[in-house]
Amino acid sequence: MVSVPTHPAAHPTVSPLRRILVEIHRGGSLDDVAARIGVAPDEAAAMVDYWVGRGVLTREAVSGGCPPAGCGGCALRSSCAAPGLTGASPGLTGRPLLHTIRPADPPRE
Amino acid sequence: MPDPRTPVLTPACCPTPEHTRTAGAPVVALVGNPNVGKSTLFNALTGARRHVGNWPGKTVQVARGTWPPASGTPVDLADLPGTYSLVPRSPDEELTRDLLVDPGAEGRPDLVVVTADAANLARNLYLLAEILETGVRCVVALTMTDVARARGITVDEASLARELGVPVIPVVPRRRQGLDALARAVRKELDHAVREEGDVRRPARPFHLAVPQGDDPELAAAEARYAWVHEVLAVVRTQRAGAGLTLSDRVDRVLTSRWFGIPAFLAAMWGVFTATTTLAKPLQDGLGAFVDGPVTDSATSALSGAPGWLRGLLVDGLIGGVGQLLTFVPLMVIMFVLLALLEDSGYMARAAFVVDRLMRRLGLPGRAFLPIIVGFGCNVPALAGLRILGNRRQRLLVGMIIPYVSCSARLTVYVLFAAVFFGSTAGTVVFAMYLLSVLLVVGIGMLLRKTLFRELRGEALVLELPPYRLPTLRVVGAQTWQKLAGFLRTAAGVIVATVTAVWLLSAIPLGAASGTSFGETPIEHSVFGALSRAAAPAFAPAGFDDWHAAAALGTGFVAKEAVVATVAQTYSADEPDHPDHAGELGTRLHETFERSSGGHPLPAVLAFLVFLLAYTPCMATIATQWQEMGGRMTLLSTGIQLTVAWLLAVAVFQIGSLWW
Repeated sequence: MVSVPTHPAAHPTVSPLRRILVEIHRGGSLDDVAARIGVAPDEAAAMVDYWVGRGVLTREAVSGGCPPAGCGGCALRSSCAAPGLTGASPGLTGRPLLHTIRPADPPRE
Repeated sequence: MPDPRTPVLTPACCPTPEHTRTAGAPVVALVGNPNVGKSTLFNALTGARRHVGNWPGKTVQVARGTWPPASGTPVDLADLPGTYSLVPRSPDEELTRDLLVDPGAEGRPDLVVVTADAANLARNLYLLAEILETGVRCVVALTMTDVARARGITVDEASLARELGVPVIPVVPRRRQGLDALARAVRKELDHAVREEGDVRRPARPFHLAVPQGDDPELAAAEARYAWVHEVLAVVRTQRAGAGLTLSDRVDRVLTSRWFGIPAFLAAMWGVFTATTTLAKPLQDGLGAFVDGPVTDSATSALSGAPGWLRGLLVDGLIGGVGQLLTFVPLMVIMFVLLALLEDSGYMARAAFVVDRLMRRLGLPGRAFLPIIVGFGCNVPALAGLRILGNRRQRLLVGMIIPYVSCSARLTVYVLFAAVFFGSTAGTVVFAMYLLSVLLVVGIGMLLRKTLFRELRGEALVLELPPYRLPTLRVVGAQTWQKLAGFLRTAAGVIVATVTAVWLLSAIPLGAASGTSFGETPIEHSVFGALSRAAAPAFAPAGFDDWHAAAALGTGFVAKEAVVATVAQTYSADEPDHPDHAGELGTRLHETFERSSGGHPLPAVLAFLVFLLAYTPCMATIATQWQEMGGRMTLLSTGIQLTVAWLLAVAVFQIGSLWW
C-alpha cells in the first residue's frame, strides 16, 4: 500500500513523486501541478506515468462517453451523432486529445 | 556468473538460444517511450529491409530489419514496443522488460538504442535510468530536437552523454539527419563490447539505488530515479530566457485564465452561432424556396388524382416536414465545421478545462463536464456516458442536469423561430439559448447539490492539455460528416414516424367534425387538434396559448427533431386549399404569436424557446435515464424539468412583456 502524505506543506521533505498525489486533489492542469511541486511539466508527466503504472492514478483520453472498444460495441451507434471531444470513431485519430488524470476508481458501487 | 554486459551475438534470421554466441549479426533493439519517433527511426534505418512477426516464444509482434551500421557486419534491428517504464503494463511492455532485465532472455539484444524525445526529456530519462540499471550496453538517439528548439529548449548532448555514461546522438529520422553518426556510434559500441568486455562504462552521476529504504522498496527506487532525473535535467537542459513559454502556453495564459477563460469561451461560442446563422441564411432560404416551390408543386400535381388523405400525408406531412428539416442541412454543416475547427485546433480541450474549473468551484463533480460536453451533441450518449462516474450518487446528480444541456436537435427550432422573429440578431438569440442552457446546468446542479446531494464531495482531477495545432482537412471533414450523418439518420427516422402519427391523429375526426370522414376533417377538429387545444391553455401565462405551439411541444416530447416538421405540418394542413401559404410559414407564426400573446410576440417566442430548452429532451433520454438512474429518479427528474420549464417560460413572458 502506498503511503500518501495528507498535505505537502505539512511534509516539506516528502518527495515530489508522493506530493503529486496530493496535488492531483487540488485540480487544475498538469502544468499547474508541476509548478506546485517544483518540477518541470514533463517531469510531472513522468511521475503520473509511474502512478498510472502502479494503478494508483488513471489517465484517460476524454472519450465523450464512447466505449473504449470504439463505436462497434456501442448500442447507440445507429443513432449516435458522434458528439463529444473524441468519439472513438475511425478516421478521427490524430486529434489533440484532452486527458484526465485522477485517482483510480474504487470498486463500482 | 557471467557478466550480463557480455555481448550475446545472435544471427539475424533465427535468434534461437542454440545460435547465441556464434559469429553473426548482433541484435540491436530500439527502445523508447511511445510517440518519440522510434518507429520513424526504425523505418529510416532499415528502409525496405524489414518484416513484422511474432517475437520467438511470444505472441507480441515486433518489426525487425537489417541495418548496416557503417562498415562491417549488418545488425538485426528490432523495434521493441514503446514503454514508459520497465514495470510492464501489457504483454508488449513485458517483452521489452524481459529482454532487457533477464540476462538469459531469448534474443536478448547486444545493444539498445534508446530513443529519447528532447522536448520531453524527463519521461525518457526515467526509462533510461531503468535501462542503465540493467547493465545493457546502450546508445541514446535524441529525437525531436527541432521541436525542443522551437520551444526554446536546448539539450546539451555532450553533457547528457557525460551524465549517462553512454553516447548521445541527435537524429532527425524524417530528414535522415544524424543516422550516419548513430551508425558509427553503434558500431563503435558493438566493437568496443567485443574487444573490451571488462570495460564497463559508468554514468557520471551514480544512481542512489543500492539499498532502497522504507516499506515500499519499489517506490523508494522510483523516488531515487526521479531525483536523479531532476539532477540530470538541471545540468543538461536549458531554456532560452523568455522562451520558457511556447506559443501554446502564451495563448493558454489568456484562454484558460481565471478572468478571461469563461468570457473567451462565450465569445467563441457567440462567434460560432452568429457565423452559422449569418452564413447559412441565404442557403437555407434557397433550399426552403426549392422545397416549398418546385418539389411541393410537382408532388401536388403528381398526386392530383389521389385521395385527399394521401395528399395530406405525402405533401403536407412528409414533404413539408422532411423538406423543412432539410433546409437546415447547410446550417448544420457550417456549425459542425466551425466546432470541428475549434476541436481539432485544441481549443475545445481548453473550453473543457475552463468549464471543469467552474464546476469544481461550484462544488459539482469534476468529471461531470465530460458527459455535459457530449450532451451538446446529443443527450442520449451523454446519459449513457454517466458510466464513467464511479459513484452512484454522482451519476444521479449529473444524470438529472444533462437534460438541460442544449442538444443539436433543439438548435433547428431556435434557428427557425429566431430567424422569423429576430432577423439579423438571430445568432445572438441562439447564443443566448446556449448561455441559458449552461446557466440552467450550473443552477439546477447547485440546487440539487445543496438539497438532495448534500453529501457529495469534490473529486480529484487534473487535466493534461494537448498543444494547439493547425486543424486538418481530413479530421474536420470526417468529423463534420459523421455528426451530420448521425443527425440526419436520427431525424429522418423520427420525423417519418412522428409525421405519420400526427397525420393519423389529425385524420381522425372528433366532436364537431364527427360528421366528416377519415382524412377529410380539418386538423383543428381532429383528435390531434383536440389534444393540442386541450393542452394549449396551460401555456397562456407564457404567452403561447395556441394549439400549433402546443402540438409542436407535444411531438417535441417524443423528439426535438420533430418540432420543426410538426410546425410545418400543422400550418400546411391547416389550410390545405391554400398551397400558396406554404411559403409563408414565418407570416403564419407571426400571426399566431401576435394573437396568443395579446400583442407581445417577442417575449412569447422567447418564452416558447425557453420552455423548449428546459423541458424533457425526448423519449430516448427518458428511456436512458430510466436505465441509468431508475424509475423513481427519472420521474422526479422529468417532473422537475417540466416545472422549471413552465416557471421560466412564464417568467420570461411576464417580465418581457413589460418592455416589448
